[in-house]
Amino acid sequence: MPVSSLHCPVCAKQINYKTSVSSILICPGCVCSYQKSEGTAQFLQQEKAVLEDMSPLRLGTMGQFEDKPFEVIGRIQYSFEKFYRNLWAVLFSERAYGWLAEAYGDYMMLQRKEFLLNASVVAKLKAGRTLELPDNKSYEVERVDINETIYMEGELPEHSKENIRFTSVELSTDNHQKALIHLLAHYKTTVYTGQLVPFKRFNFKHLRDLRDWI
Amino acid sequence: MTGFKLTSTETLPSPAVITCKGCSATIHIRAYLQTKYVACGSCRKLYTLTSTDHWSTLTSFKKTTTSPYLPVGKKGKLKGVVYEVIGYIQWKEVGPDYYWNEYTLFNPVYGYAFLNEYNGHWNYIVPTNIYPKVSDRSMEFDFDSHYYHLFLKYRATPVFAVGEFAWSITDTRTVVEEFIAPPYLLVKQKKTDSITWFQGEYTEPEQIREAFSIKAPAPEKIGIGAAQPMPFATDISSLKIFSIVAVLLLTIIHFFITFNVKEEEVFRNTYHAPAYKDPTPVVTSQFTIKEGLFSTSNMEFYLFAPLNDDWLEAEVTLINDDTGEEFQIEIGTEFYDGYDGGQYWSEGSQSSTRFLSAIPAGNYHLNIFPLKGSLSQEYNYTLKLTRNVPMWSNFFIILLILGLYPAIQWWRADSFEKQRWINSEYTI
Repeated sequence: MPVSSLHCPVCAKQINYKTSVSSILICPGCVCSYQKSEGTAQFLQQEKAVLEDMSPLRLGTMGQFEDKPFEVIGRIQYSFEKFYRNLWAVLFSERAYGWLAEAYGDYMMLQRKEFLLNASVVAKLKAGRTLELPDNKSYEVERVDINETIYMEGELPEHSKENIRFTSVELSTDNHQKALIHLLAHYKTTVYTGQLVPFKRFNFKHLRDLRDWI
Repeated sequence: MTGFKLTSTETLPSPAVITCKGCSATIHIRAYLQTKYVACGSCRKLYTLTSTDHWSTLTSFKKTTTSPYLPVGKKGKLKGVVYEVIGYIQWKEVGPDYYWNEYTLFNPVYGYAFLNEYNGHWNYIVPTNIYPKVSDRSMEFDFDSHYYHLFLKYRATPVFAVGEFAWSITDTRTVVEEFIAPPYLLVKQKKTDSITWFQGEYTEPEQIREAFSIKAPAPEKIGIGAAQPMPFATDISSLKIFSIVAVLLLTIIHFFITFNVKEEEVFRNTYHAPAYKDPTPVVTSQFTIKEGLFSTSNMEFYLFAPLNDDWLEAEVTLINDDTGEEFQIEIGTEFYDGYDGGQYWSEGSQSSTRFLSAIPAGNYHLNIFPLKGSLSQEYNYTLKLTRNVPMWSNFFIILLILGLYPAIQWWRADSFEKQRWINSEYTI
């Protein structure tokens, strides 16, 4: 994928990006976030740099999902009270975004959904309860956790603008479909749905060096 | 846990090294951000780590003589995955005095796995997203072609721990249910805010010893493990089906032969056994054994002699006049009786039968060489040959043999399962 770049207005470090459309860029130097639009970058806020979490993935990792190639271009790293998760932003060749969720050796390919959910129902969800989403699938709640910190890197399709402290609900269906719901402030929700995918099926390239582990 | 910068995206790093806030011992953190709890083997304290600078003591373990069989930091390849042992917990059931060992294994690509050891029996357990959708009260269910039974339901508390952990190990409200379908097991771990399923498999200690290159012998096996498969086991339900089919088949074949292959007398003659002389050898006239349903048939030799306190023996040769093939048999009869103390007694019989098998069709004659005991008795003896005689004894012997193996296997399985379920408050 072609690489374009601009210089960070704060630290002057070069920020490379691959999306032609509007996106969020995180400066690799000072970790400030910018809204990119037509070659200009508008400062958003100071972010936190991602931490070492032993993920085998990195920016630039390439893979395939349902025969469509993609490249990892950004990451949001969540540290929950009891859990952690990476949401890797992936860019498919046809300029479509996806989210590759990674936690404890599980990998899910997700899409952000514009579902309107009843936030008060989401707020009452507990492990073991079921919830039907607007995709007409019945999901069972596997985990409810509170996010504590967000870290970012690379290029993201949008700024989550999430309050750092929010409730995350992980759900699954009978046939390995997955959903993530982030219950944000002011009764807003962000919903991702998708499926579990075994690591090997992605045919990853340009991973971090795994020589001692594979 | 926060605090470790991503210093290189090229390679996965070596474990981070931190210093225990309690005793200054060196602690390695292999899973970095994934690790939320650290147990120092030196000062026996369990900490929650929000950053390298923020340590909160959760609990202090009592002094123990327990030492992990698999040392923390040891790497090995088990079930095709390279793992590093990053944590060890000695658990105790809340309530009863049951103790077991759990080793946390880590691989950055495939995540976590666990080795549980109780009384020398090991289970390899991994978290799974593919699990049965069953109600909280389910005690048995069919899943992935195996039938699982609830074996244990408990809450646990750590007695001792060392290493790093991604999840809280001190929440004694966590309810664990273990369902078994040996050698497999499914474990449901229900916390207030999460439900996690694990799938496991009974693993021989030798496999673990080899995987992690441990020289010391593994803890000795005591009793039967929860998911231990029965050695040399046969699937009882398959065996049951096989036995029923085999018995039915045997019965059908036997009755088919009995009703379709006619019993037929092919020779009968009576000869004189004179007194004070040995009976004369006999060469019979020719008789024919006809072709039947099968190319050969069995042959019953029947000898009758109305003797008393005497014996008669005969060496009988059946000679095929067409081929010259000979079939020899010895047949004898003896009978004694009398009174002893006013009580009648008898021994032996005046008749006897012997069998030859696989006699082909053809023209035959018999050579009979009789011998008798007491020379003073005179009587007539009869020799009769009958072919295609139903062999009920054979039928029942085969039936017994067919039933023996399933019976032994059933008895073994029953004894084995009783031993296994001693450790459970549930029954199968």
